[in-house]
Amino acid sequence: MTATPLMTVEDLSISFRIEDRWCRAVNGVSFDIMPDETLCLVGESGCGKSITAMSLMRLLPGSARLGGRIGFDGKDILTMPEAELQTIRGRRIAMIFQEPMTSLNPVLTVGEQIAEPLVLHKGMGWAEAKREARHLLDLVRIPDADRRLRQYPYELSGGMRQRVMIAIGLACRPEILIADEPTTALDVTIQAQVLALLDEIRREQGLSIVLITHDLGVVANVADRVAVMYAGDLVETAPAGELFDKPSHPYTQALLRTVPRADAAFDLHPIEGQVPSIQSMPEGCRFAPRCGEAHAACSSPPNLSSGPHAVRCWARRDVA
Amino acid sequence: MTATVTTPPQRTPAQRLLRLARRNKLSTVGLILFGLIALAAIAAPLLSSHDPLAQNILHRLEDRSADYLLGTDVYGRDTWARILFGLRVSLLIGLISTALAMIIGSALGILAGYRGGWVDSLIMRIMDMLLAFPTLITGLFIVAVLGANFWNIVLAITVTILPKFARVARAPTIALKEREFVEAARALGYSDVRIMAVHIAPNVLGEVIVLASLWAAYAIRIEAYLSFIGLGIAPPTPTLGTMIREGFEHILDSPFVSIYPGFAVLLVVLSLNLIGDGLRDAIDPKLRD
Repeated sequence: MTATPLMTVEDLSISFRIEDRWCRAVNGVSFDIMPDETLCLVGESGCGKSITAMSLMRLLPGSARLGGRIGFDGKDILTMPEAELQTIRGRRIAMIFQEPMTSLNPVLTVGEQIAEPLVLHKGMGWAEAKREARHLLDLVRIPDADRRLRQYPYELSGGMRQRVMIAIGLACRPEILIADEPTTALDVTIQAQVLALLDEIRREQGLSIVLITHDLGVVANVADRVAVMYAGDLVETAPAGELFDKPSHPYTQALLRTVPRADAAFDLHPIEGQVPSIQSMPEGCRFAPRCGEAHAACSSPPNLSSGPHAVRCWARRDVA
Repeated sequence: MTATVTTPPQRTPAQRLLRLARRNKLSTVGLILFGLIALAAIAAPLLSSHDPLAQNILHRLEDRSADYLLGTDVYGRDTWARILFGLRVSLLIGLISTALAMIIGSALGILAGYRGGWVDSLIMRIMDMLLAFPTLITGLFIVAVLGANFWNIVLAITVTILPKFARVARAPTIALKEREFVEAARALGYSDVRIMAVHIAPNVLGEVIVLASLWAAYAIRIEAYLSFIGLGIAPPTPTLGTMIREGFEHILDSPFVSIYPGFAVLLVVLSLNLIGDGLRDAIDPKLRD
């Protein structure tokens, strides 16, 4: 089955101006978002996964310079006029954020905040939107919905607030839901609940989820496909099962060795060194300085191989 | 011991108000006082048997009596009636101009803080320019150029106090726009205007309202100043400031013609200041329980 992708990201690059120099935070990243799948963007802090996610809706500050193309519905998000973008944001692509404690407006009730996108994008009246908001709270499994709708964010717990954020994101039945580390700020038990909820909703509503995370445990639970990023490069992309079975890029392998496992007496191996600074990226392969397998070829930048399991490494030309 | 978990009772708005009043005795006094004054101004024709404009030269500068509760002025007009009707004009001018200054000033401040850059610089430099003049001088200038009538005085007072609202609204806006919920609002496709009006403005409202209650008192004082130096509402319409000025000419032999309206100004300003202090305590997070 070859479905057409909902969104195609082609050669996306994002630069910021730091001390009179343009520094590339994201360096020619390409991937597709297929209908009805969960795509995980994985990487360490500072690898560019969050700003990649933000750029999918062009939410970056005006000081960022964007290159490449983000195709959605036959159009390029990166060159679209702002007014047209506002009809896509929240209606066809929605986003939930890392910090449920601060992502809700403290002075508006939960009901108002869920109803607002419905009134704006779907042209509903407030009464109708409030009824729909009630259904949405049911959908995200918040009990006692009628009372919750009248409450303010400070009256809800963190997990509850993240559910409300999900309800707001889902309000207009978007085709793509971008979740930027939605569980990082939550307790482990609540994390599992929220992830299960997202997965369930994806099945029920048939939407695509782009999940940004640095937590490989989360990836193993929900991902259909995984894209691993390192220092602004997409280093490996593969179906989730295959990535965990046969990780190919030395960085992916190293990343997997940092995760504690229950099924093996396993020593944890931290990755030596640090992510290079955006202002002094190494020439050639960006992982080479930390890579145990680096050799002469690694001083020039490798390309991403083609195919469903693609790797950006000189030593792994043979896989896929 | 069994632990019983009790959820805090849901208070009705009336109960909440009562609770607030108990904790804030002084501002409750201010609120009641201001309510009485406003009521007296509204019910002015019912509370006075005399026409505030009717002159009676035979009874000029009379002392208090059963007929003239607070005596009469130099033209024999009833001071009590003139204070009640004067309150109407003074309160209207004060409240309208404060409301206008609050709305326009906060909108400008939020716009400046949200947009930043040259928009911010332009708006705030204009505000600084207005602030650089002593408050009364700005008012004087506008009334002197445009002429003294109700709306010009409202305009003069509005322009005088508007920059204070812009400053107070701008500062929290700069902090708020970095908060995630503003980012989330942009991700939902809300326009900048909507974000400013629906999402930032209510967050700034608390501080702006406190300011409004304090500056309303000041606005009423400016009206009195302007009237006192003859740039207020044209006679014979009574305003508190005009009355003080007219009485001032006979301050040595009949001081009360000036003192009663002065006392009325004092009560209005005091009540508004008490309300403002209470509101400020109520929104100050350090004083919350």
